[in-house]
Amino acid sequence: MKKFLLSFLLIISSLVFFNVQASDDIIGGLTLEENFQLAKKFPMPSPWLLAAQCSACHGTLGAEYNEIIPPLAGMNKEEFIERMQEYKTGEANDFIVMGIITQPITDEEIIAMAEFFAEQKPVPWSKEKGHKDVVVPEWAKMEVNKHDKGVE
Amino acid sequence: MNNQNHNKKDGLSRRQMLKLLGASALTYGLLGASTKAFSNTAPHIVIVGGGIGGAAAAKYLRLLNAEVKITVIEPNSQYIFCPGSNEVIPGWVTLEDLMVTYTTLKTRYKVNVIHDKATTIDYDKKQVKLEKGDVLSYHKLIVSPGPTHGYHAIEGFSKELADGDFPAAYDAGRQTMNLRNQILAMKKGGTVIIAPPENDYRCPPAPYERASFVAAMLKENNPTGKILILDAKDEFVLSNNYIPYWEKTFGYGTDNSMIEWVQKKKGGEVVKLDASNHAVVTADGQTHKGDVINIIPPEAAGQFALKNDLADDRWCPVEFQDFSSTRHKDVYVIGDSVDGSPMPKTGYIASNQARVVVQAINDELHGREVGTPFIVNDCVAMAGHDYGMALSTTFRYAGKGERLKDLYYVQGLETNPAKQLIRQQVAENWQRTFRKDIFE
Repeated sequence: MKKFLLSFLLIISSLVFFNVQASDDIIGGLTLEENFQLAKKFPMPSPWLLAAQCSACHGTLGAEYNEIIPPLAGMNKEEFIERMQEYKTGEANDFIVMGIITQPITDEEIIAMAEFFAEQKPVPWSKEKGHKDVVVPEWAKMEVNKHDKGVE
Repeated sequence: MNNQNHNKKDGLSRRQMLKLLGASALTYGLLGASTKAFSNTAPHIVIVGGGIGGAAAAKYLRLLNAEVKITVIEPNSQYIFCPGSNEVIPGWVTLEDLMVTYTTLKTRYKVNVIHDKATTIDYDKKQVKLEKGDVLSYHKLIVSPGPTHGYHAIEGFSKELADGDFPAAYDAGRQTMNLRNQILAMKKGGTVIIAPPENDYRCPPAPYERASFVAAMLKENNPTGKILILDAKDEFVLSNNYIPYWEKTFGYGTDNSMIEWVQKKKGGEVVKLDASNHAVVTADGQTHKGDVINIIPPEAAGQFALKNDLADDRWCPVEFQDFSSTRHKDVYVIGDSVDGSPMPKTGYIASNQARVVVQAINDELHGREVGTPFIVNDCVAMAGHDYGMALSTTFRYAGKGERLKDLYYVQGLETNPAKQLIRQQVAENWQRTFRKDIFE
């Protein structure tokens, strides 16, 4: 737990003290303008689908706790919109994913996601391994080579 | 939008579907999932493949719909996550860390999991036959079989050799462990050959992440050991991070480099394995001896998809609004088997394709217009346990018959050590969260 807390503090302090370095980033595919034109041309994806795209990192429909990546379920609507807009406009740009992934999302989509997440119940999931019935075959048994992550 | 076209190819009319669903079958949350047996008239959604795509489809369909009957057909009783499996090679994580069972899917999400192998689809009868003789009727069939590893595309290579002395290790499992053990046991100053495939293949940065991890391993245990990457491509994604990392950490580009990368145009493409001499032959006729040989063969759609006429040639074409097959109706294809360019073949993508499909199926069951797809991909990769990176892409719908349109952003080299470390921590965090998202 301590490790994750420290990492989280590192992220926060990094956001404050470091500038985003974008010198050799590679951007491609649609331009932002073309992206927004497509968004206008077709009906908006459902709030459920938009929110579900966050699941792989933030836990099922935003519900994952106890990790570096924060939960979204139960988040106040205005707070969600504010944070997303800060990422999108570069005001709170970060260097991992959010400063990038928010760029092509429309304001309407952000509002729809905010409303969806505000209605979800945050579920405190355990960090414990959930699959206690895993049978480890003999060939798969090994020792962990624990490396020093430098933050513990 | 496109709803008329969409319904035209459905075997069941919307009215029939609604009738099957029952008047009371409004979508409600998981808490409403009944413990009673599913009604005989409940629509039956059958999913072939219990990997990331198939398991995500089963779970997320249940989150949307408490009434449908869901069956997953998967031969293995446990699944080993591929994301994170490169870390098994240096021993930073264990295979056990990556193992999950289907118990949560069965008990919490009321999914019927049959541990058997699906063999053939009878498209007229809308039935899937299983190896042990069972025949399942479906209303909708989701096909997520993972890729076929084309061992035979490399002369002299085979699945038997990959299971033996020449592990490809491109599905997490026994070959991964075998590759780890071979590298640990390699003679001092020996050479590990890694041969990445041509495009497209699962997890594009993985062969290069693997090379980085093996270099870290050698640096610790066998510092005069070398890695020779013989590539069937001229470039690779995230090289703007890997190459500078290799320069800084492994002397890349110098005479003493631990890693040498040979592009296809410089003669890198491996065309033959000479197993008895423990060597590979490249397209330019050169022979390279390796103490450990890790050929990652080219890929195609999964065998089940190929055998059941779902692929045009190598991959399965789909309509991107709902990932329905353009070759057979009431069948959807997701994951590595899809002809999905510009979407890369990643577990992340497979899970998000699954969410699009189950929403579309659920919309149809409820007689609603099928929604617009939207897909996010974040490739989080590592170069070492002190350096992480990310590639983020969004995919928007561009109309019927059109491919999804991407907008991608590959992060550049990160020189701040604190930020490098945080990105690495996030990559590890993501792997844990992702495993829980799909299987818990």
